[in-house]
Amino acid sequence: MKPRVAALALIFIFGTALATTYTKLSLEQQVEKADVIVRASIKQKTQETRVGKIWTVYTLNVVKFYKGSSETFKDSSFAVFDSEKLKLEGAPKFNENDDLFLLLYAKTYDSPIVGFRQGAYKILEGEKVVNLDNKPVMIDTDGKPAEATTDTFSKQLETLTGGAK
Amino acid sequence: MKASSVGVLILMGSLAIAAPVTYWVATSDGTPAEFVKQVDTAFNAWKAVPATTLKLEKNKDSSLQFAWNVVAEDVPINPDAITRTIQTTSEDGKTTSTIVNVNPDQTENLESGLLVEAGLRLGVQLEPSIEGKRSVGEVEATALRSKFGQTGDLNGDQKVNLDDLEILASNYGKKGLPSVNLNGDFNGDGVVDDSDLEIMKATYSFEITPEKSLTPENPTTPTPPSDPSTPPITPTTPTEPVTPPVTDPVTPPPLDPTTPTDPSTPPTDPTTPPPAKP
Repeated sequence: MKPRVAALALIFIFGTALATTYTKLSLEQQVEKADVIVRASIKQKTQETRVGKIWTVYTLNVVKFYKGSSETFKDSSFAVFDSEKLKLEGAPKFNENDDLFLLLYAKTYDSPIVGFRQGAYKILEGEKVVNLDNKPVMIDTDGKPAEATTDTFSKQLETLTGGAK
Repeated sequence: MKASSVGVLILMGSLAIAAPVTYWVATSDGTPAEFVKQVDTAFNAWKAVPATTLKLEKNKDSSLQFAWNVVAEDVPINPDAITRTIQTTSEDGKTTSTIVNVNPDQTENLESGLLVEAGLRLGVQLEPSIEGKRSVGEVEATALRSKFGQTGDLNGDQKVNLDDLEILASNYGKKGLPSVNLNGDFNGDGVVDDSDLEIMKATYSFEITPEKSLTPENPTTPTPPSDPSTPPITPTTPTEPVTPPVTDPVTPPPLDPTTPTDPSTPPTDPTTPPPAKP
């Protein structure tokens, strides 16, 4: 038991460096809370000053809407209150060309991602879906938990939002 | 290992013991009365982990501030966040300050959120998503010990010497739950045994106070360890003038007060396990 505890402790010590705590949400809860759900890639990442505060602004190339529409999500962008001098610990961070599923709030928050950072999923090599900690996302497929692929995750979102758009 | 290295290790241990972690809970109109207590409770849960040197101090000038404010920096908190941590770097880049805001709409999970946030602030990296009630378990305690691990100083005098070995010896072989503060259970595995003695050995010093100093003919020779693999031991504060004599200068104290040791017996070597008491 002791080596196991020590190994786990090492994970705790050297694991992902995050602060800011948040309530864990299931995908169903995330979908229910989100105002906008899209599959998109990051077109541009910029720093902008808004009302005296520096924000990191991400502009998207939206591939598909699962919730919301191009009319309700007109500027196809979202902003995170995080910058070099003022760090929002644990803030979701993205790079240009990242391929993503995003579940977003319409209102302005420090992080507009549902669940603070939980409602952002990276698509690796166009196929594998992982969370922002690069852990595979598990979803129910035919009643069994399985690692999500782009297709199965997309279908799950369609199911949870009440059908394909 | 060279004696100087051991000395450095001892010094590092002393520094770790001496520096408390500071924080402050800022209050304003609208801050619930119990909020200060909730933050204190969270930090104290970590402080209660056995076998650590963690010391906490509340200081209003601390660079770590907790505040009940949903729109700090005029930026609303994500509705699913329980605590929100913002780190600000000064213009010259030399100092950072951290403010932890609390989301008043997440009071159901606040206790767990603050516990995790306090642990994170203490350098223990924890899963920040909260599901149900969180507590400081064995794994988290082990992680805390790696940062604030006890150096062997069991009586809190910031030295690791025969006095501490005596305490360890009196508890040797005793068992308890890891969560129970068993004096001498440095690794927190619930028993005081050889592995704890090894931890003490790493910082143990044969203390030489002025009264204990050897004659000029033999000025610097502490009792050699019996184990040839044991590194030489450097005295921590050999010339500290204000240290009162703890023991008779020529007679080391007996390990067990009920069993006086032969006065000619040298100080007990920490590499030799003390006998378990019935």
